[in-house]
Amino acid sequence: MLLNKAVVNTSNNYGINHISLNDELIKDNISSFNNITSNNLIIKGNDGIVNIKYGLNDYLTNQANNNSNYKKNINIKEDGVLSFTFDSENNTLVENLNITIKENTDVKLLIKYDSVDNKDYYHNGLIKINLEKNSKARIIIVNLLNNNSCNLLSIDNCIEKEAQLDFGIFTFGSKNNVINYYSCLNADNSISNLNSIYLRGENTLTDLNYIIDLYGKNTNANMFVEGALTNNAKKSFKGTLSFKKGSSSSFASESENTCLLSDEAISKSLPMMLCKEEKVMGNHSTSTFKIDNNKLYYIMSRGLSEQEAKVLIIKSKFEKALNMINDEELRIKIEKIIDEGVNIYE
Amino acid sequence: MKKSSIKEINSNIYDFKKEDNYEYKMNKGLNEEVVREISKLKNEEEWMLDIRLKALKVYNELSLPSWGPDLSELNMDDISSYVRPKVKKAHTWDDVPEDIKDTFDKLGIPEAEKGMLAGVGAQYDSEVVYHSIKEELKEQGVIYTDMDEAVKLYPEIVKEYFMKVVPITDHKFVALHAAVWSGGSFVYVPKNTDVYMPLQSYFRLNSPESGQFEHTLIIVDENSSLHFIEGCSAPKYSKINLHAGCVELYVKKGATLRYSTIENWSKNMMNLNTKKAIVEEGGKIEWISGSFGSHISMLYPMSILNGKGAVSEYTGISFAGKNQNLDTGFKAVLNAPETKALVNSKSISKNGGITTYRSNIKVSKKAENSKVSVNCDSLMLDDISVSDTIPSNEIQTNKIEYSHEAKVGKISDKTLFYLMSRGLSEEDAIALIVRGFAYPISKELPLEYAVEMNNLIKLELEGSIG
Repeated sequence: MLLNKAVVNTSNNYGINHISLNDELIKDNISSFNNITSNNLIIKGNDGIVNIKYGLNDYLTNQANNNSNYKKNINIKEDGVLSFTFDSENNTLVENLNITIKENTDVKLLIKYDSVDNKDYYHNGLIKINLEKNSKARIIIVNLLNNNSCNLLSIDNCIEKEAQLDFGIFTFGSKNNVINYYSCLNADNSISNLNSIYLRGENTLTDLNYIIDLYGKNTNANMFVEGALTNNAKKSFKGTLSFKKGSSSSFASESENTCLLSDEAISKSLPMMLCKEEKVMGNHSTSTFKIDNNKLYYIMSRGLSEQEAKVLIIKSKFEKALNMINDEELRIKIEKIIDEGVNIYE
Repeated sequence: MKKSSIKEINSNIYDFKKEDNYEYKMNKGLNEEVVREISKLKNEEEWMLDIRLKALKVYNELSLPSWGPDLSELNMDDISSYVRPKVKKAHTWDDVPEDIKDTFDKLGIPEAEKGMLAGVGAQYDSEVVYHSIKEELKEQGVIYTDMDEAVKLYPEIVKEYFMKVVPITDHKFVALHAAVWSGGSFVYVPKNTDVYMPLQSYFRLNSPESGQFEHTLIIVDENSSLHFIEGCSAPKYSKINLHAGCVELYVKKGATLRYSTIENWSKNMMNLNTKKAIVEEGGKIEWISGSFGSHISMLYPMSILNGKGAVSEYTGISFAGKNQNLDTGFKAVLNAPETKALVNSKSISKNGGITTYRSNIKVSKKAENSKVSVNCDSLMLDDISVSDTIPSNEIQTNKIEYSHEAKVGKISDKTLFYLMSRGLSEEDAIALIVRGFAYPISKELPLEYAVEMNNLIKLELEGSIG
């Protein structure tokens, strides 16, 4: 099955227009999922269809709209938390969340996916977020699923006038991670910031397709992606900043940095900038590197082991994103995953 | 403040037509009969005809690319693949028929030859009409001839290298080229030889509703150096013309090749050119590329760095105006340790023009301790133009330093204000800024060509940026 199509096609030889997953990884038999906890959220049922611009593909979007086992409309009161924990009784989750951030409100939401053991769980999520005029939201999605799971996620944001969205996508789990993120700065003076971090290891595949469309005047979009790959992890990243006609006086910036901790890891990137408006400013950058030996030596000369030094460097790269998390316990859990995940790999 | 307006590039010096006075013009369309006829007209050996026929088969099997500009205006049934002018190849300009000589006079080729070139090849429609090389280079063993002659005189060399770095299955328009190619240049520089002045080939397509499919094959042997300049232009017609040339470059151990192109095809031209270089240990390829013409261009020079320490540098600029869609960029494969690829690309779009920078850099496992740096900047001069940046990369080793950055925007109001506060008019200020923007490319060219390039970016301004 082909998923996560690029906004603009390139030559098929480059292998980045879309990602291909074995059909067996896509589950059709969706049982109930009840292991859900929530806090400070008003959750109601939703019988309607949630329309999104992109998504992973039509099949998965239809599955989330017509075969969801958790389909809800959500309003956030203050600092909301929504947590899904997979176990043998709750092994397939197709959630469909339609979230509205009301006018003139300032809210936070943490969505967490976790698992209790190492079975291969299936997750297909569709999350639609509407920010009304002059609202502000900080939304973080954390994936702590085991390394046998399949995590498929489509996120679609619509940001209205003078609204601001700060989004975090933290990927520390799953064998296959395929994420499509779309943000539409629909009206003037709106802001969309995305911080995405990942640490992936042996036999994992990560495909990230992040798209921000700037329509309104004086809009601002920032996309920061920091990642580290160990063992034979594979990653492909497509990041698209698109200045539409009429988005004058807007600014967008994209930065993607990948640290290869192993010579077996493979990194592909396609950072795109599409511009149909003159009076804008856009820039993007991408880099791929291994940990600088001078930096490593300096830190080790302060008494740390090589492992500790590498962990410190990787954590420093994730620091800005991790600072978005208020939950101390969760932060400690993530840092422990980083400690264990960063191997010494020659 | 009034919005600035920037006139179209003054193409009058290129947009002159000569009577379509040919000795032979192939029927329009593409089929086996056309391919066999071209081969017969050239008196080719069986092996070359075999390549052509195989290529035709591949062409018919392959689809148009599923990405890039819309090529639906192109219909091979409306294109004549071969036009032979009424002239035999000459080695002095006096022997070239007056109307054709006049063409190249207007383009400044004979003048340039006198002043700063070691050799010149001039192609008119499908055949090379003039070829020269300085005696001292011949004595050093440098071979510079047209491709058709090379097939006859040096078949073993041609067989070894022809359509190898660019295989006929590369894409549909390579297959087309291989089936109907004609003309072009062959250069061989023997070991330990520095060709101290550039060689130039100039390609002029005069005949309407036709195609030019020249093949350039250059081999720079060990520890040698060469600067090769390629220029091209055509008058504008209302129907589509097609350019599907092919450039194959071999840079041997320790050698250096600089390949400069100023492309100014007319605005009815589809420019679907393919250029690739293989670089061996310690070798260096420098691509200098200025794309100003064509209705549609798809052009991505490629370097394959196969030897330790091989280097590729690409410096390019494209300028798209009204009705132009210039999809250009660069590709590289780093296939050996300590290789380096540097890319500096600029694009300017105005008056509804579309520029796309498209690239692919692949760093294989073998490319330990290699470096890649890509920089692309785009300048939009109005709000009806489009500028897209689509760079991709694939990294298969962690012993690499890879960085890419790109910017898009308009001319900064602050910069403009600063220059105007120094006494420059707005027109002069914008002209200065745009020339400065293009400077990294123009400084790599010999002076005469830098001047030509700046002429192509000549601006006339009214008012100021709105």
